[in-house]
Amino acid sequence: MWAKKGITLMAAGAAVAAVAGFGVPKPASHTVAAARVHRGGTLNVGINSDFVTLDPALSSALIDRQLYINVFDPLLKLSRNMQIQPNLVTSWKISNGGKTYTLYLRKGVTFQDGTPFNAQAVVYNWKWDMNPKNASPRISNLALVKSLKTPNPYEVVVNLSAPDSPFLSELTGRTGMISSPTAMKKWGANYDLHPVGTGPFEFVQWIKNDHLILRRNPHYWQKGLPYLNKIVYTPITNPQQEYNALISGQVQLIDSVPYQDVSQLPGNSALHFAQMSGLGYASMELYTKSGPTANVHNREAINYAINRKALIRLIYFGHTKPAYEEYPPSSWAYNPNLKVPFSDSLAKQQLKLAGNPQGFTITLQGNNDPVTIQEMQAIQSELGKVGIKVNIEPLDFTTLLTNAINGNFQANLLGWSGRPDPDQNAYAFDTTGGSFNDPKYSNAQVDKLLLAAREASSISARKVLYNEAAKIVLQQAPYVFLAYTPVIQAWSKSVVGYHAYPDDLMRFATVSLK
Amino acid sequence: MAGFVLRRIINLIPVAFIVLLVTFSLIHIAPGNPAYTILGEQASPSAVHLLEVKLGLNRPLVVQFLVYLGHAVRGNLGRSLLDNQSVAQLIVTRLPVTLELAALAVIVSLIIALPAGILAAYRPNTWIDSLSRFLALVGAAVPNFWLALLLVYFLAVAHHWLPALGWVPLNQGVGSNLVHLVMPVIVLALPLVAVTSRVLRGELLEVMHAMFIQVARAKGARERAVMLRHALKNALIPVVTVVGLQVGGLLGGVVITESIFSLPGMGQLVVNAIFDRDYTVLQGSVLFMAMVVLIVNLLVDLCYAWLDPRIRYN
Repeated sequence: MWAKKGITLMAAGAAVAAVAGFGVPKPASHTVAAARVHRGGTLNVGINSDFVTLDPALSSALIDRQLYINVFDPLLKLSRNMQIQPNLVTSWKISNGGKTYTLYLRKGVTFQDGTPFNAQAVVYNWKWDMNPKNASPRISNLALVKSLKTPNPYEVVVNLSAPDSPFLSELTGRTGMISSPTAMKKWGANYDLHPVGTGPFEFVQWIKNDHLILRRNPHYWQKGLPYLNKIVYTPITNPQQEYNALISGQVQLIDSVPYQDVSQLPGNSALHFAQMSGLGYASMELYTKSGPTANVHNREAINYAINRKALIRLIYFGHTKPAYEEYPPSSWAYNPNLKVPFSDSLAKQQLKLAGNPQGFTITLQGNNDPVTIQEMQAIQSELGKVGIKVNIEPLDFTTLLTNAINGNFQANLLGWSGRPDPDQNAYAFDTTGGSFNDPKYSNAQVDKLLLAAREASSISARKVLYNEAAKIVLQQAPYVFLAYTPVIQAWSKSVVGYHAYPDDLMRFATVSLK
Repeated sequence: MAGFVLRRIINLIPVAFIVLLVTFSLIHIAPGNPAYTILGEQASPSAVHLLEVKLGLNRPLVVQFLVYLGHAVRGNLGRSLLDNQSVAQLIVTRLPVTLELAALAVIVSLIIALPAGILAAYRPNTWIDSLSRFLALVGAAVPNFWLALLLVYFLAVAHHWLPALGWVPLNQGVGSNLVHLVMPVIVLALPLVAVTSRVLRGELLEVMHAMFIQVARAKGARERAVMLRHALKNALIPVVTVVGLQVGGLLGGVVITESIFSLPGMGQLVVNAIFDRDYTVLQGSVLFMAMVVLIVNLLVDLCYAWLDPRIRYN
């Protein structure tokens, strides 16, 4: 239910923003709530893995964003419906056929070290990101940037070499998280151990694999916020132990709940919880350049032979939806009517068309953890029923990834954590030569549709193009989408004002403790 | 004696070199490199290439090894390729956890194992011996991850008697520190008790047949005195060997226990470094641990001489 509501609200809001070319006004202030709220205290948070780097310009790991969202205020923020809203950029203008973005910055904001936040700071960060020597993963997000200008201290003009509709969405993430240039210059190569942003909390200490401490930023630009004095993140990599830590009161909030325990949550009077579709998906990548999966009919056979619902019951204990495309239910590009039937006879028909009616043998690579191994075994048994023999190869994550990027696989289980704009879930994955296109898939029609969607300005036009592309990708199956990744978070009732978001990020500016 | 110790210490140098060479070679056989790990799901061929250049991973392996060796010889273990933290600092922050855990586990195991072994040998083939044998069997057979999860369930989740996980440094409160270590220490000590008590029982029974024991009895010493004063010290040498090996193993990190209880010790550091291909952290910590194990072995050897004056090192 919530998801459907989310789509309508978001589509409307985002459409207004995009068509008008200006940001929507700031929502109601926090002053009313602030009068009754209890200030101070330490919030203990359990996270499912430790942070990798504290510098958003160097980060690729999903978990890092849990930290950044509280230390670095992004230029634009996301509402609970994943709608883009003004933040440090108060309004924006899109001109020159979608190739020029003029960003108007909030005045009176300072970094936690007292450095003023302004256009020079933004440009300093982006030029650093775009320098290949720094090997920032942000370089691909800024790949279309041709020039950056600062006509005045609170205005940044971004000229792109081609229209790039997900650009604003990038500014809600790590590309829009600006570091203090003073701190970057002061610490140089070690800035990543001393991050300084504009967010509600500032960094204090990180003991790797043990804890990370943030404290209240007294100079935060939103007066009166945040309420908490201190946040302590504790990485707990065993999901059951993370849940145990919440139950036993060692932490008051956890970023994920083991699927088998989700059904207990409503019965626990000490806890609140939230459950929703996230932005990402789980999928099987099929290599399209060689081996049996180079034949599109063999790929289609796999697509038909997998019983997604049974897989979801087994792995997610039913707590998510089957996926048939890369756009999640919270996205305006989502098409609820797109699916393939689960059918052994259709699968066998495709095997005949492929010229191997008796089936074939493939190796399926996946991460070496109990849940993924169970998932691989389920897929092995499903595909076995139509004559496709699956050899399972569990690997450590780095090997799995290295094989995927170098085309050293036939089939693997690798998902995507997802981003708010559909382009960010599709373009690099599906277009010829795309940077995340592990299956080496290439289809001229898909290339054309996704490029047109990137350059189109209205949501409605883009939606038609994504739906069209998704149909082709589903039929050709370079990826077999399995399930959307659910966001399931739980927190103690002593935590007040906390809301979960589909992007999984835990925002603490307006959270307080009883 | 001093010459013996000095020789053993000089021997550490070639061992250190071999340890580094083997660690470096083995981890480079594994596919991928830190550039892939760092980029994770955002790894694209071009991003991986940029990062390899930045981290110097595109240079020939021999060059990479020699550069590392050059730094290591000067006492610089470098920085983590993943998170840029100093490797020496990482080891220093983790060492207290592993040291305390290992020390407590060994002490607790000895407190239980010594009386259990002595009693079992004092009254062999009685119910005491059977009980001690049964407990040893259980201690050795129960998988520690299972026992750990069981303890967490009963002591932390069902009843909130102990914290489910985590670590509190000693300087933030001894009580809190110990409370966090109760479950991990039980889990680690149990198999040690099993081995140590059985070894001690077997040794004692053998020693009890020796001529000097009969002499002691013949001169009228009481059975208890014979056992504790004459037999025990002679039976302790194999026990010291076993405990020394256990200490080496514990200091090498107790990966499963550390990960179940989220204890930031050496074991976690090394295992994560392997999975992450964090070459500098891996090489630095394996080198450090190898040195510690060698030094513990040296101390064990010195212990023999103290226990048995007939043993001399020249």
